[in-house]
Amino acid sequence: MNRTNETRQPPVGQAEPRAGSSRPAVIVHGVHKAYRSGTLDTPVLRGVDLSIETDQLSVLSGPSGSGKTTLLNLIGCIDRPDRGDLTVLGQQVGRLNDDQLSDFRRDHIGFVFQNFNLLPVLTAYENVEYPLLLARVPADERKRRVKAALDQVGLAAQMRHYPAQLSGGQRQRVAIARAFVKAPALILADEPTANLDSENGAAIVALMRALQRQHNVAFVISSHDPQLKAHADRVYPIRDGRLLPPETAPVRAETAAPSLV
Amino acid sequence: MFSLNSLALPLRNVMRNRRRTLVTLITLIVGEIALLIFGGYANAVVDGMQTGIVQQIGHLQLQRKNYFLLGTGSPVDYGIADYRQVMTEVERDPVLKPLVQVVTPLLQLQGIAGDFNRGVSRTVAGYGYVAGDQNRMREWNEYRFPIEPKKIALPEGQSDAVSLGIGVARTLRLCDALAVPNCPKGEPTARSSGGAAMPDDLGALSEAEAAGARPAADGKPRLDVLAATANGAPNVINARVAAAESLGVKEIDDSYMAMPLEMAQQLVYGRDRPQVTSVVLQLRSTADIDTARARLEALIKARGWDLEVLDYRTLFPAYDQTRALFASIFGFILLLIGTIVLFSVANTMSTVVMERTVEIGTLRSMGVRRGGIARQFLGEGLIIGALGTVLGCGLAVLCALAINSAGFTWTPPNSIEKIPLVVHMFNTPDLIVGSVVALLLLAAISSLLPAYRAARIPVVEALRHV
Repeated sequence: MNRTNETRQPPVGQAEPRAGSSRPAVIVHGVHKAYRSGTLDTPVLRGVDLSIETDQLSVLSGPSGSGKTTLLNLIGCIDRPDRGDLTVLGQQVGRLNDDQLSDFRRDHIGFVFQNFNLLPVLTAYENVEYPLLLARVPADERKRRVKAALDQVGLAAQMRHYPAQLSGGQRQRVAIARAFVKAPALILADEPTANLDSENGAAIVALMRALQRQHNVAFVISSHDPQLKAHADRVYPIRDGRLLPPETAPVRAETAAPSLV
Repeated sequence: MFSLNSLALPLRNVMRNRRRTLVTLITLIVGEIALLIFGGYANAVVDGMQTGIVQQIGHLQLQRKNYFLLGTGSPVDYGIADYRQVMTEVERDPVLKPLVQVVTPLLQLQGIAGDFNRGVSRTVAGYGYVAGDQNRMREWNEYRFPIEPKKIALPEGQSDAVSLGIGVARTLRLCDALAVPNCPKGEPTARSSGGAAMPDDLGALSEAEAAGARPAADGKPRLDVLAATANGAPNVINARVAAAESLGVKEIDDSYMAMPLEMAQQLVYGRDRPQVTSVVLQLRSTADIDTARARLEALIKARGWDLEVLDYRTLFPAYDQTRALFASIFGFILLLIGTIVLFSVANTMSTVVMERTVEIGTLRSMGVRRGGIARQFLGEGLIIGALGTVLGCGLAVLCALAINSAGFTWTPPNSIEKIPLVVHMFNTPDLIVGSVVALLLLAAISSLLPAYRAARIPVVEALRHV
């Protein structure tokens, strides 16, 4: 919708094919990041090295201020490291300009936010449709995929509802459908259960896990929610901007989910 | 059924904070109405002025070269002797024929009118007319003013009658005889009670030309009109004063005298070949003036006439001066309204960007480029601008219809006659199109900076915005 007249960039943002790929979805090498306040630099990441496999649900875990959201932002290509290399889906994203990064996010990355971040003037259907409009998916295909996505997150009956007419859990389901509907190779979620009660949080965790398994997508979540850690394939603890040795979490029984696309 | 189209998102965003949008819209609407009503009023004044001028002097005049600049006091030297041939050619010309409504001769002269035996006189600007043609010219009303055509006071078919401007009639103490309004009572009326005697030669000349200053059989007063002939000798004609009329401007009323063309020609040329100082052309539409002028110039060149073509704007410079005055006032008002609109829309859009910073971050994270964000906010500013100008246009039209049907009148500066107070918005599209484009452009310009700022917010900062 917003890109109607934009010219696509050369395929520098083209990701490597993920199915059956042996390459990691994300490779972080020697990444530093500091935030500047006036003349004061506050280091947030201090030389992080990390490799996240495709087809896995990974959790960046740590207390507030540990740097997990900053690392997630870097992986999501919405921020740039001060130093270090970052390869996402086979693409060295440090080489991309702002428009190329935008296109890369549009084509390969889905986001789920703590505050849902739905567009309040759009219905649930339209919110889920939006990424497909950006990607210029044809109307018939859009309709099919949006309905399937909403059906999959259990909100087919609420597709005409505006975000204000939905509960917190329902909003997060719409957000998850929005992230999955374009079939990205990488989905990032920042504290997706932080604003939900435990029951809704558990349901959202189960939904994300099921969808991740069904679509074999690399799913990276920043959270200190124990439920999420319990569902993760891999947990990466972060403390004071440094990554601690990863934990392999026990995987629970798979949650079935209908086909999305 | 559910799908978004490219207008849906900005439209819904515009309606998100309805109160704020409404306030901004009201600013635009009031601005648009003010521009259109004032512009329409200025148009009406200028159109009214043009109507008055064209009714009196036509659109174009053929004159001897330099008569306008040098010869207005010398009708003898700058007369058009073969004016009948010129008129015939103009009337028969295939290009001019469909454009021209009236072709009529005019002889302007300077003279003295008075009752020399009573000791009252004054200089006059005399106009030798064909009264019937003048009456047809006064029917010209291209802009459809709600006025009835006012016939010239000079009667048709009366070769000895003249008409005066009401100022001349007052000066010549003809208030009662001609029912002139606003005549002070108790002013000295004549020298007959003991003033200085009239020179013998002029008195004798006057008496030789006519039976004296006694009233005509119909009770109308008579006057002597004195002018210089071709050889420089004075010539006097005794004429019956049929009526006094107002020409709308006091300076003209104070010197105006209309007389039959033949009388004027006799006065100026005596027994010589009669001439005129102008051949007047009134067109059906002012829009044809350039075509008509070009054709006349071609005719002049082809026939070798020693003539030039002058339009009503050259002949009556106050017309363009008035237009320029209104244009400068309109420009000033546009500047004021434009400034208000600029800051109003800019303030609204800046607030919108601030309130929707997180949303900007969300859209950017989904892959919307900076350009897309800028276009979205620019589009919202344009939507507000379009809504405001369209609604403003609609309301301005209603206001104009109300004003035009209210029957208001007013007296313009330098005029002594009331004219209808109307608003002309639709004669040309310039006013509506110009004001809409101007305010739309201002709305777009007002949105540029907020839109640019929105596009430049780093994604992470936008997402963190509280």
